[in-house]
Amino acid sequence: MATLGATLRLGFQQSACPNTVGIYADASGRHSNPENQVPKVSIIADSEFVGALADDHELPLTQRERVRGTVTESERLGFELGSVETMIGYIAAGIELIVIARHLLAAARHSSKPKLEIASPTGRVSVDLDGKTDYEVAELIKAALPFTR
Amino acid sequence: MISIGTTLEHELRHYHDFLLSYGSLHSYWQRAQAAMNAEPILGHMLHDPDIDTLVFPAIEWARTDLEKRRHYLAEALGRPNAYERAWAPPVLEGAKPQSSFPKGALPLTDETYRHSLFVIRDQLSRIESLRGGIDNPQFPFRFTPRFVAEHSSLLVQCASVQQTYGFEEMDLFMNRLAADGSLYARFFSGMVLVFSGRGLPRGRGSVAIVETENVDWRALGVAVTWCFCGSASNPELLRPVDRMARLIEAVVTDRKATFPPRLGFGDLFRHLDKYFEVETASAAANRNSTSLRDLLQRSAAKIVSAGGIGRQFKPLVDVFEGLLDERDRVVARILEDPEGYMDVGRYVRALPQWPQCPVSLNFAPAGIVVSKEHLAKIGNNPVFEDTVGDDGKPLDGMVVEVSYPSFLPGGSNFPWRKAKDLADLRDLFDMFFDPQQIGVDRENQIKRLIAEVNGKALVRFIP
Repeated sequence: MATLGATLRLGFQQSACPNTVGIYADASGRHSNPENQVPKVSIIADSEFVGALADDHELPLTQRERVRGTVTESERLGFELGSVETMIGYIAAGIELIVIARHLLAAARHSSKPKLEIASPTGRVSVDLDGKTDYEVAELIKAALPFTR
Repeated sequence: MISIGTTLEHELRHYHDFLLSYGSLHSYWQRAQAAMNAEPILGHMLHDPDIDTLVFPAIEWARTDLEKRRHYLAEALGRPNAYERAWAPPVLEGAKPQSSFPKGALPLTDETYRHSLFVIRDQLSRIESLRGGIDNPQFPFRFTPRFVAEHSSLLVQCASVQQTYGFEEMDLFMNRLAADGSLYARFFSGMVLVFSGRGLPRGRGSVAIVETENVDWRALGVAVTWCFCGSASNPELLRPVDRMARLIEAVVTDRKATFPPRLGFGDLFRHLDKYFEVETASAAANRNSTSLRDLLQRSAAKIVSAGGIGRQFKPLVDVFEGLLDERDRVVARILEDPEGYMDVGRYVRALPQWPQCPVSLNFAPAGIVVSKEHLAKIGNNPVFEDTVGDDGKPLDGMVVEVSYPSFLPGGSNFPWRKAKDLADLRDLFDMFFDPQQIGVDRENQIKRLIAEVNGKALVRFIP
């Protein structure tokens, strides 16, 4: 039986578990944000973009690592093989989205492909920064970074 | 419109190239086996009432020690005890298991869990190695098997545009591809230049403008078909990417020797076999078919010997057997009339007579329903999926999903219903074990569905 919600068909039945959608957000729609929460995030983009992020000393991302992208990631993002990298690091809780957005836009100016995927443990979005304002970018990355302000 | 109107021909060529290529089918079966091995674990993850948090990618999570797992989830979710109700596989360490199928029935023990995870890890590693391509910065092109497949389908699509809309439209289509800038379009345009004797594009990534009257359709059609005809008798020229790289090198060095003029399609193909000292297409096809049937038989025997737990995977074996049967039909047709495949104009004209690919259309992601009456007009023998609306009541005369054994008259013997039923297993396997396959929208859709249906939240593990 198909539904508009495109449910998985293979008979995976309703679990007896309580609904845990709340793990993603509290009643206000924002994730709980205790002081000790420091989620790890990943940003997949082309090498120029990631390089610019790496050179940005003000970027609020600590313990940064750069990892070479896979073939599949290149194909998925539509980038040249060998040109995709991932930057991984920690974003401190309470950082404002608009701050992150501004750093992303600054890095995008160094890249001919201002497109990225940003993910955290509880969210993931794909964003094309071309022609966007900082507020627009902040709005777009909100779903990937629900622990930010 | 030109592009959308010729999509069917493009996709059918993918299907036929998939059946022709040993690597594609081998890779398909590797993934199917990995998904089979993962099924008990996936079932446990989704149904265990003591679990409310599922972490992916599963193998990377399993390789992480308990202390790091607790710390990660506490940081990620802002709760120090977040790990207590999380999926907690045994830590993957120690020796690799000897056999490739877990023995013993459910429920999973630590031993069978660890066993399965090791096997899946190794299978994923083999699959990843099959995805690789030519990635040498010194070579004029960087490409993967997918590029070769897209090149073949774009070639066919050009012919289809010409036959459906006209020469001017084909010209427009090809030059739009050259200007498109996307990965596959640039590679296609580059190959058109190279195999038509126009040299290499100026600089990596530059736009290659094509004069369609100078395109060497013969060389292009033979070259790309030859790429899919490798066999294990020549391991260095088994993969389509290796064959394509060798062709590019040869053409750039001495085009006349590689593609002598005045040879027809079939003779040119045979010439390439001799030029590169590989076995003939028919010998390669026989070798590949034998090897693939052998894979099937060995897996089928293991599944039967696994008893109850194995029987549920019989549909997967049936699907693969169905694919091999369809492959035999396609290969027989190509060997009987090679030009009918390599001459893309002839191929498109005769497409309704080729073995067809079943088609499934799902409008749910777009949030729309379509009338059965309309869908019955656009393909043969539609099979409608009974649909309920958001209110839970069946919709009358409208559906979100329809399948066709084929759009065109050629028909298909492929057990598509079984394949469709197994699509969820493949999606779930990708989500938890190979999430780089899953795009953002599909990931978010799966997360929502699992939250609604199984009451569990998904958390990404970023090592």
